[in-house]
Amino acid sequence: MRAIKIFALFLAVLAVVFLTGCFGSRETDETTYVLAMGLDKGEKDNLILTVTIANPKVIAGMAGGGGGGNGKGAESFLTASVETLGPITGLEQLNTATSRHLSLLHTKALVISEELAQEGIGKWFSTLSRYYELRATSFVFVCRGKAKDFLEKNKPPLEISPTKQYELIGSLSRAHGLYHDITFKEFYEELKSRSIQPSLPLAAIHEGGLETARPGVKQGGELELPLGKYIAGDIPIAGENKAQFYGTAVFQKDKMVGTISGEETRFYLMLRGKFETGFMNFLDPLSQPETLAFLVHQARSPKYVTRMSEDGSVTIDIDLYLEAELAAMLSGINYESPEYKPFIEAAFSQYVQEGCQRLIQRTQEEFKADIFGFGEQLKKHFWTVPSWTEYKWLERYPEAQVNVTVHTRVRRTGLQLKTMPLEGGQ
Amino acid sequence: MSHRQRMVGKIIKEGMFGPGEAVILLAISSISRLFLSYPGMLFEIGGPATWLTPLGGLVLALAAIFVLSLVLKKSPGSTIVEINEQAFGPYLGVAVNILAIVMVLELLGATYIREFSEAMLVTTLRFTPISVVDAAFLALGLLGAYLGIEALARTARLTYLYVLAALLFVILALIPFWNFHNLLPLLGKGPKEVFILGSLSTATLAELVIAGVIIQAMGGAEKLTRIGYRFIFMGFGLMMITLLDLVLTYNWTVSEEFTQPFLRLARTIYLGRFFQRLEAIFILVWVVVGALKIALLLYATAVSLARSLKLPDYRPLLWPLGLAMYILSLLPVDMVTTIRLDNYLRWLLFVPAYLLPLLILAALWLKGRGARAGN
Amino acid sequence: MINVKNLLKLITYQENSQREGFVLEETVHDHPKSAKGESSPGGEDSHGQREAQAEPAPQKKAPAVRRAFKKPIRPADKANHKQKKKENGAAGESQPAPTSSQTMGEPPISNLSVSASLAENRKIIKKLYGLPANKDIVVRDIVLGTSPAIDGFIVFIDGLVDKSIQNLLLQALMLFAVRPVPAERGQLATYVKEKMLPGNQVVLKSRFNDILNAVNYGDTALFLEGCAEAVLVETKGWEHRGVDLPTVEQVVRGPHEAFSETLRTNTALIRKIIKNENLTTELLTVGSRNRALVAIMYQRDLANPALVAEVKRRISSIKTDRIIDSGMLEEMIMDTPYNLTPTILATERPDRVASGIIDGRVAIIVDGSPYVLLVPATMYEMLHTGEELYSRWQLGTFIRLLRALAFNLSFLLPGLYLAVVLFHHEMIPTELLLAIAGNRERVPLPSLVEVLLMEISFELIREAGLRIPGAMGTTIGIVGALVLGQAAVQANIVSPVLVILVAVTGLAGFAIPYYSLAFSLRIYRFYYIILGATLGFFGIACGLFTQIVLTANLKSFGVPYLAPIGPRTVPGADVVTRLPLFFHEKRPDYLNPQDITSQPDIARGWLEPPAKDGGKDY
Repeated sequence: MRAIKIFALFLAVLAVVFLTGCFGSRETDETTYVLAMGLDKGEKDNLILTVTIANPKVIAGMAGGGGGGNGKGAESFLTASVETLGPITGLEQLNTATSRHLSLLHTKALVISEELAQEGIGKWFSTLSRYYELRATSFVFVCRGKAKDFLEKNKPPLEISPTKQYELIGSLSRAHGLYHDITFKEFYEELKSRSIQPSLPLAAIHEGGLETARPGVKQGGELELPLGKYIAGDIPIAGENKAQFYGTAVFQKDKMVGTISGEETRFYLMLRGKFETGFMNFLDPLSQPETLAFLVHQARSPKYVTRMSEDGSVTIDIDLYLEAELAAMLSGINYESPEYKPFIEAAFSQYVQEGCQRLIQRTQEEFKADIFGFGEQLKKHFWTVPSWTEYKWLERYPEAQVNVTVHTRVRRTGLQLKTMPLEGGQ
Repeated sequence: MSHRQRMVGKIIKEGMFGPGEAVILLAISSISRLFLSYPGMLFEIGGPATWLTPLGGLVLALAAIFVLSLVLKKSPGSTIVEINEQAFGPYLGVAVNILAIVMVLELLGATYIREFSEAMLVTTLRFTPISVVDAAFLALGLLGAYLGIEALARTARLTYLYVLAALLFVILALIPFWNFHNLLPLLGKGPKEVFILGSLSTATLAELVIAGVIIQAMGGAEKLTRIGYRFIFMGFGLMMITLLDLVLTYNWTVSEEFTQPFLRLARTIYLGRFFQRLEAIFILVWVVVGALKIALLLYATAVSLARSLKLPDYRPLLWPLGLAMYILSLLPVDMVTTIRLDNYLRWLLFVPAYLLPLLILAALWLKGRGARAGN
Repeated sequence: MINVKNLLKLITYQENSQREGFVLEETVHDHPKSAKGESSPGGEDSHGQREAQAEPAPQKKAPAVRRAFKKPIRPADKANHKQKKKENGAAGESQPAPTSSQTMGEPPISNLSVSASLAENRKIIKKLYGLPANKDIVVRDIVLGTSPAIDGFIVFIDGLVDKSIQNLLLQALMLFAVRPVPAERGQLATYVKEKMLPGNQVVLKSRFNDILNAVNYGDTALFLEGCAEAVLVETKGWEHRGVDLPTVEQVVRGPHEAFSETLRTNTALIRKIIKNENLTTELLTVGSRNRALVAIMYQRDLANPALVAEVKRRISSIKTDRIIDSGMLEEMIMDTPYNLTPTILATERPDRVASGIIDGRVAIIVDGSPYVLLVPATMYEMLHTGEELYSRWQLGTFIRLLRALAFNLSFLLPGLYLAVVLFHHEMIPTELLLAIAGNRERVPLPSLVEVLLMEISFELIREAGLRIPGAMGTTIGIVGALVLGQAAVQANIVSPVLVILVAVTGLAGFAIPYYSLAFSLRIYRFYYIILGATLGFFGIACGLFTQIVLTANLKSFGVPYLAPIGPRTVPGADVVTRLPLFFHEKRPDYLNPQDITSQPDIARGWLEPPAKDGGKDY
């Protein structure tokens, strides 16, 4: 009988231990979810941390009842910023101003400003990689200007919450290849890797509307197609959403050293074997300055042949295989016929080849960063890790000799098989 | 298959289960170390060739099973505890038993309780005091050990499909992230490190000792070779596949840094907008595997102690041994110390798993020679 | 007219001369065993004590001892217990319930045997039945129409006998008796039995015990002058419910008969399906006062004899007052009554029982209960219905897989919801989480309280729906659920997600065919709710491990509860997926039947190529 009493007491104590505070349980209405985080270079302190937090009341109302159609009284997300020492410190400081606990469990995007990137972001990433709530699968962007402005002004009108926008952007990049999506995991790996340098997509806010358009070829602009020469923030789009994603930022270790434009990003992706599809324009070989457009996709992964000589100098030959579909033609020549087809194939291959060589040269001379990952191909010449480490590929990259050959095949020509010339008229 | 109770040497009553269940029980128990920080330690040794390190360990473990079966066949019907006494005499034998088997298993149990609780804390219950999680694991282990090895074997049989499915899911769902260049350079940090140091680090399985202790419940020494080879192949095979997956997904410089590499793998799963962040489901798998392992260790400790002290039943020993495990598990100061302790214990396991059977064989041979000479 | 007397009566105190309401007090006869001679109460006696004098006068009550907690005595302790009792002597430790209805002090009357004198028999019968107060028992004097005429009387219970059969028998005895009787009265009963009574079951008995048992169950007892035996004729016929549709276990495809409360009907229903001479029925009696008949049916050439012996041993060793339903018997013979999970299968369908008997199991039928017990039972049996066997194997497999999902959902879903919403916000996609969070903004209750509230209301609705009479039952169930749920959502007491969750959980619970198992899962659900709310997924994992280990340890009449998967016996063809019927070649191995093969390798003979000589003409 005594034993029963003692046991009951023990159970009661155990229950109390288990139930006090229910350690760590947090209701959803005690938590605020940070959807995107922005890091800026601070004037007085290390960082300016900006967070986009979700407003679940409005989101649930909009998704469910449909009553929030016109009433823009409440936004579905809010932004807050703080100038602080480091990311997690900043969160704690923001916690003092919000009524709920900030949680990073659903942070989808990390936006780093250009200034901060140029200073070097390696030291922040140690925090971000270690902190439990941040996930390795969130996306990272570099933004021109201030991340604070970007997060405040990024209001996609069609989306209920910004997270969907960031997720969809990832899948969109596969559709045109004008920027590529990098997750935190890949960026961190490339940071620490000895065979590749990291790169991040560029984002920016564009306020100018249509004014920033550059003159096209016919209007006396450059003979080079300027279409690809834009980077984020310059594309002349007028519309409700001001955020733009275009181009890539190149890093050397953890410092940003430059940007490449959208078209160059496409070449970069092709060289890495990650390009999926895209709509590419180039000058018509038989009737300049008209242009032709192809719907291109990479048929096979590129073939790399590497040769290393005794003294360590490297030659890399790359073969790119592209498949194209004729999509647009401004000149009216019957390119679908077998006599004319080789022209455009050769012209396109030439165009891509030149673009790739120029890009590689730029990375070798201007940036001195191997963002293509040629080091990965070279690893097979080494048997053990110490010998590879001593080789120090990343420093030898500018001396490497890289040759690119492009093979294009036009497979289809869309719905039209033939182009008849226009008759009549003057 | 009838499940009768067998009185072994009139000492302990144990249940019985068949070789299929034995293989599964020991295999599941041996992959529990995959979920902790153990793969990270292997990465330090092997680099990109980490997935090759278990190969040498596999060979060594197979040899150990062979030696163990030789030892156990010398006296069918008893476990390694009794054979110890036969070989070394009553006093030295009991001392060897307690020091080499009971103590090592107890320390292992304490380490595992601590490591699993730390893993839980890092993953989910970040604000719970560790004593609560420890106590929960201990309670599960006590329950399992109290109900007996039959119940544990059946539980393993019931849950192994889910454990394997979860493992396979993690491995296959990461295929989009695989980068085959991570495997280069092929020989990692050097063939000597990979094969020699790597084998020595992976060869020490606690299950080798446990198999020696619960051999009677598994059906006797004749079945040991079959059970042993199968479960070693299963355990090491799964380990190699998981390590391969780790290397392919994260290059080795990054993998070294992770506290729990498997958790990191689970967190990386991203199959589209809906199927991400599934690592909480793996907690279910971990807890089951961890509880099984701890229960098995506690049971083996209690049974070996009972056998060496010639007690009729092991159940009264469970509570003090369990409490001792709990207290020992709370001793290490922080997680880093725990991991270092774990490494140290891994080397200590060489004694009961490899040295002891060899010594027993030598002692028995000497005794036999002495007896023959005496005749 | 009010006069002074009445007025005075009105305003003065009048003692209440009416009798007080009836109060059930203890009398000295309540505890006959304390009359055995224990003088002073020991500390362990239950209830108050009285001095053990046999005086009916008002006693001085001994001061009521505080009711001490009494441990249920386990059989292992009983030996020590008896020891202690001998040592304590007069310290009245009470023993388990009194065994029979024997009164103290006198030899039991029912042990007497029939005497040759009719008057004596009549007296004994009067005493045994408490006649003439007991109006159910009818004693009818007759004179047999033989020559010379013989006196006799019949005893029967009105309401339990079939009047037309009785009239037939009386006619035969009184009117159509033309043969001469033997001179020796001792042989009279045998003569009557063999040559005069046309009843289809006639027995001769000489002890009053047997006569009482027979008359109590509907037989008619015939006492003859000068004969020391009584003739018992089977004249059972009482009002009973006929063979009806099954109330709980309905199937779409399959027979629709269910057991009823009469033992003979139930055994007949099983015999209708198994028309085999090896099917054996053994009868036992349980319950000392209600003396229910229990039938055990098994196939003599299939069931393991050890199993049958164990069943009989357990049932015949039960000493209790009453066994009214098979549920009470089930609890008495279970291996582990303290575990929540049921280990014996109770079913109301004869086809299921027949299938089980052919597998090698033993069926236990309790008189008065439409639920028949099947032992041994594994958990997988409890998740099967006949529907999967009678439909095709693809449908059967689909239903089984669905049921497996329902099984898991019914106890895990609320716990998982709580764990995710309280601990693991990262598990759900962001939009879903924001929707849930948005809906929960308006709810003032914490999640745990919300879930408990909804669960308890659902349980209330379920219980109430069972008890509401007749036509209102289903309506109130639906209306109650809908209105409660909708109103609760509108009043912002619960969030809509939770209503869906609780409804799905309830539905999943209904998908489990065995009521007892579904009920135990309902109880487990509450454990998981608490575990999920306090420790998140870790708690649920701990709960799962505990439940698996405890369930794997259960045994049902010697068979492991989770066979054939727990301990791996021969893989069954019918456990989770159902293989086509022509692959079911072996019986379940864990039952260890005498003959394991149930089908030859090729069950479908028409597949074999015809014989060389052109084949038989079918």
